[in-house]
Amino acid sequence: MGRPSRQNCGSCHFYGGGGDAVKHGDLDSSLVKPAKNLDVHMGTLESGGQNFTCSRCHTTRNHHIAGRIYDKPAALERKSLLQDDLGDKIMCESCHGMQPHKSGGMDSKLNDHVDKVACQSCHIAEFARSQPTKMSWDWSVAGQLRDGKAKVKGPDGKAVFVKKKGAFVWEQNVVPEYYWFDGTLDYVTVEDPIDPTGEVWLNRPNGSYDDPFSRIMPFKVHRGKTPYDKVNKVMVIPHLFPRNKEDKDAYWKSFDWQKAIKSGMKYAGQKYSGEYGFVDTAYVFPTTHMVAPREKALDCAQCHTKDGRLENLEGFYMPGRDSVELINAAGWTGVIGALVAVFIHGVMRFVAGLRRKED
Amino acid sequence: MLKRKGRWLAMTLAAALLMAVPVCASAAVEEDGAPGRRMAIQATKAKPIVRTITADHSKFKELQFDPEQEKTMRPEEVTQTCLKCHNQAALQFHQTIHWTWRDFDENGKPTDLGKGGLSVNNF
Amino acid sequence: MSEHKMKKIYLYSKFERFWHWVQSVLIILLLVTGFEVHGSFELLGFMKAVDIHNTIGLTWLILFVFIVFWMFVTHEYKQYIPTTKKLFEVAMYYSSGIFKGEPHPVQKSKNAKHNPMQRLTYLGLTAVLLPFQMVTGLLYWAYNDWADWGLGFLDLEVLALLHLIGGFAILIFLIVHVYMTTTGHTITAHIAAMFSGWEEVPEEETVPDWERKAERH
Repeated sequence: MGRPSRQNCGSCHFYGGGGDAVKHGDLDSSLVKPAKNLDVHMGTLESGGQNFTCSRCHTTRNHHIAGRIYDKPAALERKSLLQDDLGDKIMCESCHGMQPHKSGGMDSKLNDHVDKVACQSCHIAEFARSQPTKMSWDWSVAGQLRDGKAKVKGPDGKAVFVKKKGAFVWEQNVVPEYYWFDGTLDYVTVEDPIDPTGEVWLNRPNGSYDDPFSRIMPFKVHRGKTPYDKVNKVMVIPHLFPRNKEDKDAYWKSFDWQKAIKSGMKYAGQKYSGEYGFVDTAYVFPTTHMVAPREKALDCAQCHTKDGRLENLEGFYMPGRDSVELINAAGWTGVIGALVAVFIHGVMRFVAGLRRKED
Repeated sequence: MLKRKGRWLAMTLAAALLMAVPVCASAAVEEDGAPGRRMAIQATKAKPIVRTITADHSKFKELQFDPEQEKTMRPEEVTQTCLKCHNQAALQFHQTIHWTWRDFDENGKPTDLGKGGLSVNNF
Repeated sequence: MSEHKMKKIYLYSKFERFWHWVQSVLIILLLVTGFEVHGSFELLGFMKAVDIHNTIGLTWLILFVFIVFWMFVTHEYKQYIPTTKKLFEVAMYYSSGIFKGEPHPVQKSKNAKHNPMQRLTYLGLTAVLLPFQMVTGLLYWAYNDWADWGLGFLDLEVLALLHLIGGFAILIFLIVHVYMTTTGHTITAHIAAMFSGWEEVPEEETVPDWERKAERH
């Protein structure tokens, strides 16, 4: 008898999405015995880590395990253990407090950021640092063969095409996308209408600059081409796994989307028009594991620059990134104008001086 | 006059340098100085095993299984043994998302979200 | 002008020269780091630029307190009281007379260091532009404390852009100012005077009463 190990939790959570490292990007089998470089907290003692098990942070109450559940935030308030000694340990702040960096000089400036930037944004500069993770999944090409084969492997040995599932893109050392996040996510269910003319975000981080509880958080965004009901404009639930050998409705038995969707939607108690198509989708995962040693944290210029990591985040002014082009143009015109004016003035003085000498 | 000029230039430069000193000093990283790091090390200092375990489960007669019998036992049979003493565990577990596959609302009622609900994903 | 007989007068005291040159170094460093923080170019790296900009900005603030204190104690602030007398003549001199070799319409003296155009410019700089940059800079620096200070209504974008406009204005001043130092009787005459304190002026000129700094009573 003992407490659950990383291997225990990981036997499901490291393999989400149908295989090792597929789903999360920050959770895979390399966390069974990680080096400190991969995860400062879970890293083995030999590598200089703290050898944390999952439950050191995912503390439990009556078998409820702390952590985000769909639209439920991992924690309602950011508090240290000193402020609430019976609270969950799930936030970085639980142990690190609200002033995690030194005080004085630029370190104080780092502490100034904790109101708007989640720890993860700087301290997990890249995810999937040990194994590649799936970044896109095109279901629309499933059911066929590629080059006459049911399975094609990419250069890193990971399958890039499987007849049962379609085509994938794997990536390693991925730079996350950053969004304002108040700890909750909005989800599209099979009952919610979608707009198939654009990319459908099946879940989306809630939050904005104006919300004092929101901070900038890194996300893995998994993109896909996924079946939907063309007439009712909703996502569909296809029936994939055959229940038994005679289950001809299952997609992984007869590779017939029509039958699989009809059967899946019926099981879920949903209407299905009978006409399906494929739509571009996105699904986000907050990146929160695989915290790197502090030497690997991002430096200021990764965000405080034009075309930096936060170039797409709107609604606020960020030094080094933002400007008003009109003021820049006017300012530099004035500077160049002054230079030209003094240059001309100087040349005229010089020429006039020469002329006077000649006279 | 040249001498005076040189002195003033030197003084000006010295003043500028003096001002630059605190800049350089503050940029140097001091080891383990961050209060957050010290706090976290403090908070997690004690190994979990030291803290809470007051029973050695390997000594319980109930958990001594016959090695021959163990080969054909189902995991659920071991769980049944646990539940004899941990008499709230099953009831608690049935309330969690690991059992229901459904998210809960504020009143603890299952919602449409979850693998057992109407959620969709793209993987 | 060189045919005029020249005499040397002691115009700039030690402290005045000290603050002028320290301030010039600080301003140039602030301009370089400031425009880097603004994203105009990359030189030291964003973090170093911010760090140096903050440190120098605060240093300057302390120096500025001493400068202002000095001006009032020595009554030198009166050198900055604006006047329109001969302003037109000075403007005409720089736009035409200077090319014809005419003498400067206003001569420097111990009690009148600045010509009317300089008075206006330096007053604008010392009383308006520099304090404006210091106030906007200090507020920018204290961004995280706005709410605590009851300044939550401030907008970082507006403040940063005001500070930027001030920066452009100082840069333009600097360019013209450095050029104007070359307009003495030799190219380096004015700069040399700012190092030594001694300015060369034509001997026979007298200074009109209105230009004199009022004497202490």
